[in-house]
Amino acid sequence: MRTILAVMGKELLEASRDANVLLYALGFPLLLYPMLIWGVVQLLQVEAGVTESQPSRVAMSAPREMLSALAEPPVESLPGGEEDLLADRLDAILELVPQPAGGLVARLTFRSTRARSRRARALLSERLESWRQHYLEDLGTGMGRGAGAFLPWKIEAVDESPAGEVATTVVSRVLAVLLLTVLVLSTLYPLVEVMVGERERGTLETTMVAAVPRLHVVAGKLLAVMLIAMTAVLGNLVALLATLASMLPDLGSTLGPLASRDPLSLFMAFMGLLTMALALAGSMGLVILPARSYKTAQNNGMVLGTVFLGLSALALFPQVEAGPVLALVPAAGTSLLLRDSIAGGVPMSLGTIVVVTNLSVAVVGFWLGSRVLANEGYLFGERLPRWLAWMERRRD
Amino acid sequence: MIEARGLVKRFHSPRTVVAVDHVSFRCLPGQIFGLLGPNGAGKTTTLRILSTLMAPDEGSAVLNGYDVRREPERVRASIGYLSTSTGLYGRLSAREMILYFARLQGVKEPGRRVDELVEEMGLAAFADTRCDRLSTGMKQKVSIARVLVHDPPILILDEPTAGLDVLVARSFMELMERARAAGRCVLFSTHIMSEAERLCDRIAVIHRGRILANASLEELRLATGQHYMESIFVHLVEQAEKQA
Repeated sequence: MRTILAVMGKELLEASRDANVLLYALGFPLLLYPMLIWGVVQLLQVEAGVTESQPSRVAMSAPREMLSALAEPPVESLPGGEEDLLADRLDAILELVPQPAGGLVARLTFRSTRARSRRARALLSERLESWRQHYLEDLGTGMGRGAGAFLPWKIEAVDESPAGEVATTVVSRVLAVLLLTVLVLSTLYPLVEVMVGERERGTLETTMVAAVPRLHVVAGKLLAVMLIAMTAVLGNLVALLATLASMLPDLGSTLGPLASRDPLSLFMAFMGLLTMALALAGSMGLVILPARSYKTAQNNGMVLGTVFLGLSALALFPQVEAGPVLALVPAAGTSLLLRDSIAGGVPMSLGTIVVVTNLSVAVVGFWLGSRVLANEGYLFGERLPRWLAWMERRRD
Repeated sequence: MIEARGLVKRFHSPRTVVAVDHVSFRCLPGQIFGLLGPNGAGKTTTLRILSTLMAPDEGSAVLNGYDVRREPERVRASIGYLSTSTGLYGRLSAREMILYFARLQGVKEPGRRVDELVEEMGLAAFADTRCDRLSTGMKQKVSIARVLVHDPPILILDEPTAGLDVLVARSFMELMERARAAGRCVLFSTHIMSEAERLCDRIAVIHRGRILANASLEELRLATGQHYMESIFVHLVEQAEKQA
């Protein structure tokens, strides 16, 4: 353990003085979120403009005298029910139900996850309020029934989107993939630096002649890479939340459901991410080690990184469910674990499978990496071990 | 003590080359043993086998009582190895570099040991300077401090004075003499004849992987009838070429 810590400490110290590592592993991802979110906000503003130019399709059930006042453009009165709302053929449903004791209840059904539906709700709420203010009392008086004929007046807003759908959609699916993307990007450059860089500078021979098991050297290096990558991920999370908080004043209510998540579930998600960082370092380290230059190392690492990113993108699709089989696939299992942990929770058994799978990949990567480092052909640039020779043939 | 017995190393890429061909020698504590030969003679490969970085195809070697094949970690704990490159981490300071290797080698009180070496090697003025900003001579001093940090009984130095100016090379040779006086076993390779003449208690002349002679300087003079090391070397190589 002492030697692993010594190697890890040295790698972290070197990385902290390497402008490229700081830029690629920390600086770039930290800039990514503000730029990405700014871009998304711009797109949303364009979308809002498009939405405003479209009519609001509303199914209304109300006294005749109110219908004409409510269904003025851009509100368009259409027939339909809840199934049409869920199928996006309607933007809202308005029911004005007279109460036996007098007065009305306005039930406004909409979907908070749809921009057109939110706009329809805003328009109808505004008109109902206006109608109440300017016409209702006059109408009551005109009918000789007094100013309070339709009181008490009440608007019930019913959101057809499931509770917490916004948080679930935006946070769990997108965040799972984003965190894994940052993890892959933040792993690659430091990994190339600690593995190939040392060999290129001729310092590896010096380390290899110290009385230290090869596995300790590899473990120290890869643990340092994992720490750098996890720091980048946590930094990104902070940057993401800070950016969102500055751009979205209602962030608290949007992310409210997160606060009520099962702590054990969130702990499993963190463990999944942590072990994935180890698995990434181990497996990417193995494909990077045989490279004889930075460029080849980055190419080798990017191929595997792209595979991992593709697998982690499965979390974007709600129809893909986390199960024991996918839990055994690195990156896919982790992203689904993250998604479901944030969205509501996952069984402990599933989280355990993901963590154990990631650790197994990491251990195999660490062990094979130490075998490569112990190989004299690799160390002195003569040739790769026979079991890795196919990589040379592929490059040729 | 170092004892090499019939070491053989072949490289197979692209054609088979015997880099080390049945090399045997013995280096005792308090002795400087020079491995003298031109570039490509097999000096570095021999030293890499002894430092466990390479495994021999045939033969065996025992250092400080440990076999290079069976107990490589114990061998590595017994040696201080200096390769042809300085092997320094450019972004670490001289002090951090020595401290790192002190920790790797399991030195007790590594901080104190580093302070001792910084003082002994005259590194105090630039101990906190990054290694990539040091001159070649200073880098070599830091490398030597790294080699000595765990106080090994055996030093294996691969062309340690290559690329150094006269003054630094001289201080380096003084350091080897001090190591000998301290009872260390010093094995070093060189192609600089004057160094071998000045320092070595025994000299092995190596050419095309084979040891042509292994004796003290006086014995070599008697055997070849030549006085200067350069003439002795040329004589031995010409004889070997004729026999081949």
